[in-house]
Amino acid sequence: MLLRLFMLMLIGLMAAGCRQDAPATDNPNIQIELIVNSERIVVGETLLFVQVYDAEDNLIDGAKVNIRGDMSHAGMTPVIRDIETGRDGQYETSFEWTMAGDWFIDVTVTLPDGTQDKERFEYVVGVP
Amino acid sequence: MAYLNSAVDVLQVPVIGRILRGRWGRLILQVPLVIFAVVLVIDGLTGPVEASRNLATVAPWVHYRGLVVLALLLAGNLFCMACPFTVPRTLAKHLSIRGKRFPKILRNKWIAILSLFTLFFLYEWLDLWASPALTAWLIVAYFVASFVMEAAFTESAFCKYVCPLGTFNFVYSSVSPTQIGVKNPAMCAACVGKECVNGSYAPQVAIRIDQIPVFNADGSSNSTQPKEIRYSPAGTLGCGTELFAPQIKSNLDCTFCLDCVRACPHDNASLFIRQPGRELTQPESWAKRWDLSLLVICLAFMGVTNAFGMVPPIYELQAWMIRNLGFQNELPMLVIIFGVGNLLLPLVATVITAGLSKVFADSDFSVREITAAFAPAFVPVGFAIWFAHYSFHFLIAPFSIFPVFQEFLGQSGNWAAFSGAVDLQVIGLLQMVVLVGGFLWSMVLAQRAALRLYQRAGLPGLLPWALLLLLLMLAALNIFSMPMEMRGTNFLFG
Ligand code: SF4
Ligand code: SF4
Ligand SMILES: [Cu+2]
Repeated sequence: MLLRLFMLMLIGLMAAGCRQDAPATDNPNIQIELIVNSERIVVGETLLFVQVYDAEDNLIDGAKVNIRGDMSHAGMTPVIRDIETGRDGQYETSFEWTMAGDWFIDVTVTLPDGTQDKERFEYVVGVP
Repeated sequence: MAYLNSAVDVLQVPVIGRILRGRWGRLILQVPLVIFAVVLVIDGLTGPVEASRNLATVAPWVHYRGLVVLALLLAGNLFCMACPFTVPRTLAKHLSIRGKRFPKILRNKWIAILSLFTLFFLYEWLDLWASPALTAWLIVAYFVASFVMEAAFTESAFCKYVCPLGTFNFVYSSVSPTQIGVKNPAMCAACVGKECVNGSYAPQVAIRIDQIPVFNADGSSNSTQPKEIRYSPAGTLGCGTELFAPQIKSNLDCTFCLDCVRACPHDNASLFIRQPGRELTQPESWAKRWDLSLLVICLAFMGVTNAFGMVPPIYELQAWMIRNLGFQNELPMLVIIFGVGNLLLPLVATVITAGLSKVFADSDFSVREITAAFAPAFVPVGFAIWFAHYSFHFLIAPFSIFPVFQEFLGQSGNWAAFSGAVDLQVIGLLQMVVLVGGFLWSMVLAQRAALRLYQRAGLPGLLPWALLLLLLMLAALNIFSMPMEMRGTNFLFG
């Protein structure tokens, strides 16, 4: 009896563990660039710049940009930034490298027409 | 209370005590953890590959470790009590009484030392902390190993001789404020079946009539009365790690499963409050064996090495080894670093220290006896090192498991609401207090051991040990004062 109950639970869990895949996949019509405002990346506050281009290398304005910085190791809260306004295809935000080590930054761009693109950038952050 | 002199019986607490003592008391704790373990495995194997977004990495490496040291300090070996890996023993009792006893030559802590070594080594080599899938497989391996050994041997051989988590908890539950004991030792002396260790389980119902003493108010007894002792499929197996409740002087090897409490037909065994770390001051509580002494000392060194794996000098050391010693890949380097730091160094340091102590105090005791006398002094400092490290990881993201769980359920994680963290400076201060406190506690224990062992020559005999404890504490203090880096080590080879 207990065993059967357990199997049932297992199947239920399998079904529940349905993480939605990230909506954005690589979109060939959009290119994203992430620029980090320092020579050597160290722990602390900094500025991040995102540039969004279309297929003809023109800067795109008016997109929504979401930045999520995670460490490759468990146990750090991600640093998440949303940038609503950009000028001349430039999107700027403050950002904090909260700990030394391996980081990856996922930049998700949503154009006014709803198309999305996501790009990952990896950094090694040192101690100041 | 033979050994504890405590009147506070934890299992007399209303409701909770009753539930814990009840037949399904352990299962009630285990089932949620089994479900949780299954969730971790599912997420580890099917969820995101990013460790910071996967339950399989966040739960064990951040929350389990942070909470387990806290529980050991404040309550007792709560993880083993609720251990999901031992569910077969709770459920399929018939499985556990077949089979042979664990081979005699292996009934010691040597395998446990090696499995701790292996776990910490794999952790570093495979970057388990950054790999949900490998952590999930590690959880599966625990279930398989525990199940197989539970089925093959009569006792809980996996818990007692192999499991690295259990071994860690056994060693450091020696600081805990609780311990199994008996209410009335005279009852145990008269007890016929010793069910606490032999169990009250039988595949078929069997009844035995025992003559048991009737105790007067002053504890004396001059009459007996018959009592029906029932063995049945509803009974409990005896102590899986073969401890005998009336003789327990230490939490070593006790999984806090409370099977002894359930099995005792005279309601005589229970879990009691004791002075924290009481057993460390009692010379007779631990066996004077090399394996046990070295386990405790090695585990303290492992705490230092494990933390060393997270600060910049380890990368410098590895880079140096590549440049000057011509290493081509990480495996042999880590084998050497860990082999030296976790096994060779503690072994050599122990033998030299014990030897010097013997010479300085001009003692007739053997090096083994001297080591055994001072080994308990390595518990507080070792525990402090692990505590400082694990609480660091826990306190910089204590609530991170909630949004990760939300994401597991397919929702978007509310990171803003759960981003609370303790300030790094505060954590640093806490680490320092813990390390110095642990060291001072260790020094008190070492000093008592020296006086007991050497009497007048206590001071010179203490000196080498005090120096070793100090060096351990300073090494840890130094490491924790450096900025932790959370990175894979593979970058050295591209
Ligand atoms: S604890 Fe209970 S079963 Fe064990 S010896 Fe004492 S009276 Fe007997
Ligand atoms: S003494 Fe044995 S049976 Fe009792 S709680 Fe400890 S491990 Fe379990
Ligand atoms: Cu660490």
